[in-house]
Amino acid sequence: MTEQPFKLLHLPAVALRNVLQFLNPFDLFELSQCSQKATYIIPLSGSRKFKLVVNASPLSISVNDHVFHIGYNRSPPPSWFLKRTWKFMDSTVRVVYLSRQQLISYWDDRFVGLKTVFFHLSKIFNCAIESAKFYSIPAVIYMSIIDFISSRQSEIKELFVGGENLTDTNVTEIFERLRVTDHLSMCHRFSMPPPSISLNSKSMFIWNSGWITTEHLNSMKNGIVIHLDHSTLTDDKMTLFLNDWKSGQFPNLQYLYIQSTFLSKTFTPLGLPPLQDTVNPQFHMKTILGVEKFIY
Amino acid sequence: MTSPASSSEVKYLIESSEGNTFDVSGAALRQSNTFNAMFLNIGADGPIPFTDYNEATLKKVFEYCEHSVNEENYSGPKHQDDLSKWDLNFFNEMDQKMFIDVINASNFLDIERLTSYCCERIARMLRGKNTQEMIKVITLPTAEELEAKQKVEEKKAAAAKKVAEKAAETAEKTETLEELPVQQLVQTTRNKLTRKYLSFSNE
Repeated sequence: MTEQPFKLLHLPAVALRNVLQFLNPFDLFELSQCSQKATYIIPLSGSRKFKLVVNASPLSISVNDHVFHIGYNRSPPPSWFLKRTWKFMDSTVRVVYLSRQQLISYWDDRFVGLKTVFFHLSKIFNCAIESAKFYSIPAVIYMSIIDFISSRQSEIKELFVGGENLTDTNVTEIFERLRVTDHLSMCHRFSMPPPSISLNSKSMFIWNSGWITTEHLNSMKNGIVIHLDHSTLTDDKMTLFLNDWKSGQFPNLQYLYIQSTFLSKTFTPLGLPPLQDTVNPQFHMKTILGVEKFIY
Repeated sequence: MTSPASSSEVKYLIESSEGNTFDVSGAALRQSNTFNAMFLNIGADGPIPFTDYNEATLKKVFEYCEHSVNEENYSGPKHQDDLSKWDLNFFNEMDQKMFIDVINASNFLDIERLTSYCCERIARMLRGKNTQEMIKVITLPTAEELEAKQKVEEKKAAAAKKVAEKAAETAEKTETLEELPVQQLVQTTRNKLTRKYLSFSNE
């Protein structure tokens, strides 16, 4: 059969779905650019089950294993790459294929680009946002992305909290709107300990954890991994926590790392001698939630 | 000859849109989930009517089924590069119209393997194409064409509206002329009936 034009949209729904399932996210996106009708059929491809991840480093959005990078307009693409002109929301931009699974779109403002591409892809594929791993982006952009996510879903698997100039109110709002189920990473430092925020993810990395009180610690009952840096926990509070753990209140906990300058030098967990041999240190690796960790 | 038996020796008669009938083996026919659901257990009394499809299309579809009778059970889509020489010839000798008819028939008969291969071929025509190329392949109107179409439709709608308004005006005039005697007649009848009823109930 030679390649002659045919009416794709006239195919029966099952056949049309089969055709779309053979296309990768880039081809589906290209198809969505053809017309409004073509845009509407994209979810038939099963795109609702796609995994959409927003990344900060490099600034990009992944749909399954296909990556939409965001680049600066001032850096022209090499001439030998495949070029396209695509429309994201109301912006028409240059797009260059870097490989079969990576392309880059060029923007005057990369953060606006990230937001626009993210909004557009979410709408086209109509899939849940699995992970938002970005920080060091302006709070306005960060919060508008959070607004968008929370308008579509109440849970997210993975979230990094830490936009530039995020206020305490912003961060409290994020926790009110989104439940982080699997992995929470946070570098925001609260000026005052927030009254109650939900810290019940499986894995929690809190880099500036000076605001974490025993109350917050007690809310981490689901935690498999708890990592607190720059904590202000004292010997008494640590002992309280460890006693709770000993009594079985943290049944899933496999890895605990608490770094605090408020702990005395003589502090030992539950009065036991230090587990780490400081003279002849022996490191053991254990894979917890897919990540290798040193344990003692 | 038709029979509910599931032996591969059994032949079934298939009727096409032209009213023609032809034989298909039970083994080939059983690749159709539609057939399995409708006739496998109860059998068919007379030719099985697949009269939405022409003879050429149905023969092509069952030619594929006859060929793949001995192939292992279908387990998801195969990459086009894995197709046998026979499969490739089968697809290559079809023209565009026949190809679309085969997809439609295969889709109706729910023959997973054939539908899947056909769809993979269409997907291949789209893969790696840019928007303009895709629009050509799938014969979608371009933005300019859509705009022009919309303008024509708007003009048509405006013209239709004018006609409708004129018609309504004329109808209104006619109604006011005709309505009066009818209303009067109804009222007179009502009055007569009321009087009759009152006199009857007084008696």
